[in-house]
Amino acid sequence: MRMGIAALAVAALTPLCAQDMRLPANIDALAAKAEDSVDVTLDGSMLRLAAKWLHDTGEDAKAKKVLSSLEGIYIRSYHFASEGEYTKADVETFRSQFRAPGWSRLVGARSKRSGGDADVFVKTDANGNLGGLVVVAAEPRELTVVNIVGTIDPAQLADLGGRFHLPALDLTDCNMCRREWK
Amino acid sequence: MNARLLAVLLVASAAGFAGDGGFDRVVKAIESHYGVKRTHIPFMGVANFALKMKHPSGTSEFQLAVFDNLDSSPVYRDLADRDRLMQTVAGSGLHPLIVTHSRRDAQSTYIFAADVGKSTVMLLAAFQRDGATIVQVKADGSTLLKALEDPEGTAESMGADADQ
Repeated sequence: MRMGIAALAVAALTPLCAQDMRLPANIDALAAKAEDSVDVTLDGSMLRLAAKWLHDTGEDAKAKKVLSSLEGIYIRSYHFASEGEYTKADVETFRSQFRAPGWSRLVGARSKRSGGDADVFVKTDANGNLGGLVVVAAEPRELTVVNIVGTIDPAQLADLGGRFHLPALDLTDCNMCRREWK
Repeated sequence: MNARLLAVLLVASAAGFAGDGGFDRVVKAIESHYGVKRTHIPFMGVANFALKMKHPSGTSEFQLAVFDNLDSSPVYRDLADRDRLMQTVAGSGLHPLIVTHSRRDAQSTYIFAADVGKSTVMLLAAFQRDGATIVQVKADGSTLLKALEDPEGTAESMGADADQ
């Protein structure tokens, strides 16, 4: 009986743990410091549902096509009352996990003028297919992390930008942009 | 015997959940957690009937509960505690779509969705400085998309604004 309950508990907790692993755990600690925060969780079933709501024409059609190949979109966005509420080390902690095998940094943008930076990391499988994408956009008073799980062409990000709280990445406002392919 | 009883309870709770979308469970959990009963609204039956006749565009089967004086609970201002409460009560049947917090305005908005048969149920919980409004509706796609992109605006359009 106890084993049965334990098995049920493990089964119930597994989806949560799997979901938690998609975004770095330490980022949630920043929520306590943020003045405003937004947390979007669109797992596979919700994405399929969302795709059904979109029209088959115009911008909706483009977004629908992108959503059909995705398994999840997870977003954490924090707005802070003043600068210095989070440190570069906080950001570096979760950037560092994308130096693991399978991950590559596609874009790194730094703006000396605004003090902000943005990185786009992609995950590829052994065959070179893209299996996920992470955007880390850090401004002095704002931090946004986006994790898109599933097959996506980075160029298709523009089709989702501005929807579901996904930032529309503007990489033109930077003094030093760098593209890396591994 | 115990295992069978547990299985029956699980099936029964899942069936009950699928039927009501989670509204009653969320309301009872808030009552229990903060020790505050939902506010009795005079003529609520009439109001619900009126809402069935004329409800916000794109929605049907409107259910509403209003809470006042939640700040009498010592844990009401604890946002992490509120997050845990809402995550727990949502369980596996309600999918959390979006959570927003504003410390400046002491507001939180939670939007959950559940696929119930051919329709989608949206449960919206808007917590303000001292009270909360829980709304559950059957919603069409455009309403749910709007809720995703403008959760606070959707909460206001359903009567769950800060002036409640």
